[in-house]
Amino acid sequence: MATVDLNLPISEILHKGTVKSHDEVAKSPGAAALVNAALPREEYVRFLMILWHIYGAIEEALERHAANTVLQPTYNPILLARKSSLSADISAVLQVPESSWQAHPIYTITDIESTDPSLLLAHSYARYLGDLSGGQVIKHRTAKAYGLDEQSNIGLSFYTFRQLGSSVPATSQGDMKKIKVWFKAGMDAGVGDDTKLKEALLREANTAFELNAGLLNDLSIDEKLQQPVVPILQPVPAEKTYSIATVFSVITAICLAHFLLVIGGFTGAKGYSKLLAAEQWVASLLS
Amino acid sequence: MASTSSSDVLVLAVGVALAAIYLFRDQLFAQAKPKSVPVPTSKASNGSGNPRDFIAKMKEGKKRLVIFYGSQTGTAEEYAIRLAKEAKSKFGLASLVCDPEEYDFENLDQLPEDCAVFFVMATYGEGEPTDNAVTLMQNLEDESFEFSNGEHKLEGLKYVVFSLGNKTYEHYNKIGRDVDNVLTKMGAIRIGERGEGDDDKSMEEDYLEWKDGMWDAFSAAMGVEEGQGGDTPDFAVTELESHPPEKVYLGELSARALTKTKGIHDAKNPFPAPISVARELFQSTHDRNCVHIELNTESSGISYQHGDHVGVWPSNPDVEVTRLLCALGLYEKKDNVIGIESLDPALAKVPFPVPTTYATVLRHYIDISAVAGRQILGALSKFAPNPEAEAFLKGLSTNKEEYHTLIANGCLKLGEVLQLAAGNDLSAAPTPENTTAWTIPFDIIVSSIPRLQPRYYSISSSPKLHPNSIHVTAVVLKYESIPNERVNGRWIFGVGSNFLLNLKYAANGETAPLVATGSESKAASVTIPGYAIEGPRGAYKQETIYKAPIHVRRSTFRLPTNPKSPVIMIGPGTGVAPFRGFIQERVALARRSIEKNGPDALADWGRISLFYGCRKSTEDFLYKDEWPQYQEELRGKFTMHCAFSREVYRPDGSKIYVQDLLWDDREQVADAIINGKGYIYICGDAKSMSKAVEETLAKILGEAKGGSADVEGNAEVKLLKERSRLMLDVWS
Repeated sequence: MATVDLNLPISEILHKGTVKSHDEVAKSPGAAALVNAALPREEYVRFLMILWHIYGAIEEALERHAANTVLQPTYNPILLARKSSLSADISAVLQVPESSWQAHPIYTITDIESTDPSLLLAHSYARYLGDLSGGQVIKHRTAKAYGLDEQSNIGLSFYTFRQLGSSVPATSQGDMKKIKVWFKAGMDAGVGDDTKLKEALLREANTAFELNAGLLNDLSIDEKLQQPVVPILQPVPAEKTYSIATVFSVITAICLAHFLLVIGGFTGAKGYSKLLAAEQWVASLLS
Repeated sequence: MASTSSSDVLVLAVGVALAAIYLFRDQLFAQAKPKSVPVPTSKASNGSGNPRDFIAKMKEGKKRLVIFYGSQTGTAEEYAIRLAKEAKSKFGLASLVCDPEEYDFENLDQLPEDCAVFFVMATYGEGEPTDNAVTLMQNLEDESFEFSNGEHKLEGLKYVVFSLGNKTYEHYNKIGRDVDNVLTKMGAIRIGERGEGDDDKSMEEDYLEWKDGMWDAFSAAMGVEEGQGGDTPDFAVTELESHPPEKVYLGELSARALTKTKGIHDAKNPFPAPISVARELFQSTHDRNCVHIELNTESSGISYQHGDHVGVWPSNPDVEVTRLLCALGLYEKKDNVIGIESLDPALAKVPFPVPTTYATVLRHYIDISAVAGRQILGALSKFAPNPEAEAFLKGLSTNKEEYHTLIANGCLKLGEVLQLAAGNDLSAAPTPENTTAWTIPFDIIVSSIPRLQPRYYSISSSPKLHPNSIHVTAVVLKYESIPNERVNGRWIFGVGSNFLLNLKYAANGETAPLVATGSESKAASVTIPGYAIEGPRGAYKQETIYKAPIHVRRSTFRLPTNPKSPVIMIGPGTGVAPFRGFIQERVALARRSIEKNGPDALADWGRISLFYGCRKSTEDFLYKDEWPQYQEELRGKFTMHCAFSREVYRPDGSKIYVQDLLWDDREQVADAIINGKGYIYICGDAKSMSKAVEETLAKILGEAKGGSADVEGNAEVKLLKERSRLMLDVWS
């Protein structure tokens, strides 16, 4: 981890101190596939499903600790929360109702108590700021590749935010920037001068990036699909058949997602080693 | 649970696997069918040669403009398309709109002399080109890059630049400026000024300010004149002799509705929801109606949350459909099957499903009930049946004032304007005999009248109490137009709400009453307009049950999850609709909590205050009978403050509105917001009510913070908005 001057405000510490982790994620083949919308349709949906679990865990935890003084200034689920829009997008892309793909058993298991809820800030930072930045590029590419309609926003709500302090959809880079500026100011206000906390958050943010990198590495990029993908919302035969392999991979993804959230930093380094073990376990199932 | 052992994981995995297998069982165990994959239509219609050669494509399509866009999130692309549309409508010039990534630039120097190239370039990040423009920029900037002339020169090339950027970033509009500089250096000639748009605030204004001057310069440089473009059609309409009748759209809103295949229901595929309850909400209906309609969503897969909006897809009333069919001379042919094709799919898409019929388009797909626009009248004047009618329309299109008094204040729809211009009687039921037929090509109607849009209503129920039913509370729009020397005052009916009122009458087997006529000077009495509510092929009627096509639009207007947070709701009139849903949401939660934790479960809940307003408690008090029951179930946590503006007055005789009640309750309001970290919601009229309430809030908060409304109060209001603790669902 880079050494960063801990006297800086936390927004700058996290920005500077995660450059390496951030770039590793950004340069990964998975990220490239995502930005170029080169993922097969099923794989893109699988990715959204994993995200749905991750956001579910982050947002439920943030909700429980909304009054935490570190988290309070950036607590704004109406502006930021992504879980329900992910659900709607998955539904739109698969053309099945939300209730039919949401595997309910998971809800109860994700209820994990965290040791230091303040560290959740690192996860909000890594995810939401990413969605507000690179997410906007992915949105446009995704719309084109899968034949989704940017005007109606159906299937793309995950990437769509409202303007700060308004219910009007945010459309320009300027709108996004205002949200980011607001978020960073809130981080700085919440963390203040607590250097110990800053250090822990920096560590946590890097872990969050590593976990996100793991998520992207898990995406299978099909060489054949570097060509344009068949639009999703073109009339498809009413009965879609999923191969056993696809369904199995969805299940594995959900399991993996569960690990991500169990370990997602809420239990620190000990958790990370568990993630590695879990990944081996998943790999052994797949091989 | 602090640790997770691998056995937990195994249990979890098995659980998830079983659930997933169950969920996907149909697909898993369905017999594998050969997948029919729709093949993307081939882009290159020119079978000849290199698809990366834009010069060849321009020549083939007789296009004199090529527009390249460097776009990352789509904004530059939108402006590129707009420029292409304007070039077409102004000068009749066709453009090739290009993603630079898909073309080669070696022959940029071969652009014919009577052609021009546009660059619409966004700047990204730290002054970088967008991904799709990287090669283009390299080619332009690299001095060793040779064009087909063997040099790095573009002598005499005519070009236009519009540049997009964001002033809050350091390298504002760098790429557009670079393109401009490097082209000038290579001997190319810029037409007009370089346009620069600031994405941070004023992109649209920047564009509008720039484009007129640019088009003037363009006109001079290209030797073209404005007004040449009016006749270039966007669409080709053909009458189809024989077409399988089951494949003709008669008002179906999606391909799935026509073929009756399953799929989720959203804005692209509305669900025909059976109306289970329809009743009047006003106690007194002599001059106004307000309908409460319950839409059954069972087995539709539609889910909603409190605060969401429901989009209702209306159709146009019978009388307006007939009127326009007659005025267009299409009455006899109204059921002929027509196909419509876009002549330039990049610029204009056919806005509704085809093949269809003339009558269907006018009834279901385009908004013929709106007041006729000024621009379209000018375009239609040349198809007038006689010189007087032509002069009349031309006059309206050029004289803003006359248009305003006659058309806008008179609330005249297109069919009515055509009748008026031709000297027909507007008050008679329209027939081909009493209506003059104009020979307006149908493609002009398709390209100039917008698509009929769904009407959105704030849902007035909570899914926690009504999981399979969406409630709508709609005041029925009906008002009189302002009379003028040509047209008497007439009753004007809002399309969406009267469509709902029609459905209400039909659902209950009632007959629509005659509209009160008022005094003699006003228009002859008319019945409430009728609609083809049984729907295409009777799809919206099942025995005695009527259906309305709907979809749900998500909103961010939501209660805080934690019931301890105080909630203040301000919703006079039908602005109370979402708050009925909010209260129901809390009632459902209260029932569960009391069941689980006993009668004191609500002790630590925050206060829920509703500020409501209407004319009289005996006239238009919405859901009057329901509130006391909610208050009881919420165990004193829910307080209602009502302003009856025509019943209770101040001592000086002035009216009392919701903002006055809010001010009266200021101590509690300030405490709930500042100490209780409460949430405030405003719903209803945007112009006067919402503004007045915000001002009152600023006053209350300013005072509570020991400062003024203008400084501390406004700062507090802004902060509340940024944290999504002050939310608005307003309309004008």
